[in-house]
Amino acid sequence: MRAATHIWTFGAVLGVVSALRFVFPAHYGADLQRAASGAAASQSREVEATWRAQAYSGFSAAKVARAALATAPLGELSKAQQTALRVRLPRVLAYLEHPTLREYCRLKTDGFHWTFAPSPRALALLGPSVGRPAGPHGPQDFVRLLWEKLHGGPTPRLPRLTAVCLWSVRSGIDHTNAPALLLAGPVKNGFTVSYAAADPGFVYTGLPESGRPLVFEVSFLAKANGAQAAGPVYFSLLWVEEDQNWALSHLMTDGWLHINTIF
Amino acid sequence: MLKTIGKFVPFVIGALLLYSGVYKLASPGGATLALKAMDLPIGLARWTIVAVTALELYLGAMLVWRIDLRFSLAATTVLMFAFTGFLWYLSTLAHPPSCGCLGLTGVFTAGKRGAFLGIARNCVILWLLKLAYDYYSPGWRANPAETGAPVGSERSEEEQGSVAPA
Repeated sequence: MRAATHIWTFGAVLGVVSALRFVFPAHYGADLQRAASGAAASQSREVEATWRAQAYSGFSAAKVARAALATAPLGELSKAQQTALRVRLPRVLAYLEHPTLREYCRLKTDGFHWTFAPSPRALALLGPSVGRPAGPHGPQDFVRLLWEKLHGGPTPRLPRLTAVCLWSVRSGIDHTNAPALLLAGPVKNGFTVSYAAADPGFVYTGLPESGRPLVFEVSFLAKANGAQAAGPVYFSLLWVEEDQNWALSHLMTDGWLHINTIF
Repeated sequence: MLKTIGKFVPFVIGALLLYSGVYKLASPGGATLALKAMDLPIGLARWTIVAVTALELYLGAMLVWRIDLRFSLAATTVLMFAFTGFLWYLSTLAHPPSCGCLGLTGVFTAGKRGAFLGIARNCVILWLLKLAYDYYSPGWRANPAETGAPVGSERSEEEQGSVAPA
């Protein structure tokens, strides 16, 4: 065959293959979407398998707190901040191991000056039938409804951490309080699909309106009840200067842990 | 023994390329996404796969029907080197996507292991192509002692393929 014949033959094949793209755009669009979702699921499984292959021990709030404090740059914190953190951190971790509504409310409110304005997400979760909380017990009732909504339903499950990979515990101090930056910041531990815990709507009056916030971040690989898989857990605590304490800020968990809760 | 294998390599590799081309023609999504892993824009990835599909179909047909065999074998070797380089790149990623090449995505699971197995597979194919190229090169008959071919075992012109464009 002459070179020109080769070129014409290849050109003809290329033309037919290209023409099919224009004749069946819906087929190729659907195929790409199918491949994308398949690839995402496959990569997610692969990432989760590497997490699951790590060494896990039963969840211990004291051990995780010790590991987090050991790696934290505590020198950047004042004496008061360090003292408060040493008390606060094990308590938050103990709550993640054995969550109760009572302990959640205490962690959110005890020792803080706060007001309550239901968050748009909380309102969306509860639906239009639930009005805005009113009266002295309004916030508590609202939080209880949210708690029951997220942990009840046809298959009730109160998510709690059951195992932890102590080698993976990371902690750090940041000055931005955005959930997305929590995943990519100093305590980056990877994720496939992240789930943010809902914020009912507690607002701390002791927080300055401007200026750099002081955020203590922790992440670790863990396992949760009712799920065989492993995945990273991220949470952050926000320093409230007026109350001289660390408030719960964000909780982000990987989709593999199936943790749907409030924080 | 190796020489006998070389004789049938064009048909086998040609059939594999045809299968791969038809597979990509019907379902190019996996290969397109694999290219996207190289940070290529989706449009460019899509049209690169169109070109690769056409190339596989064209070379596959040339090999199966033994048209310009030595040219086809050489061109297929270049294509396989390109595929292998691409697989090597995928194997350097932490969690690479399925390669989508040769349409064997169902055989090799996605990920690093799949990429390494793909490289090994391509190395075997490249060696087979070399065997075939040696078998069908004119020097084989000119110097049988060097290639280990039995004296008097001459092949037809068709088997050797045309060496240069007519």
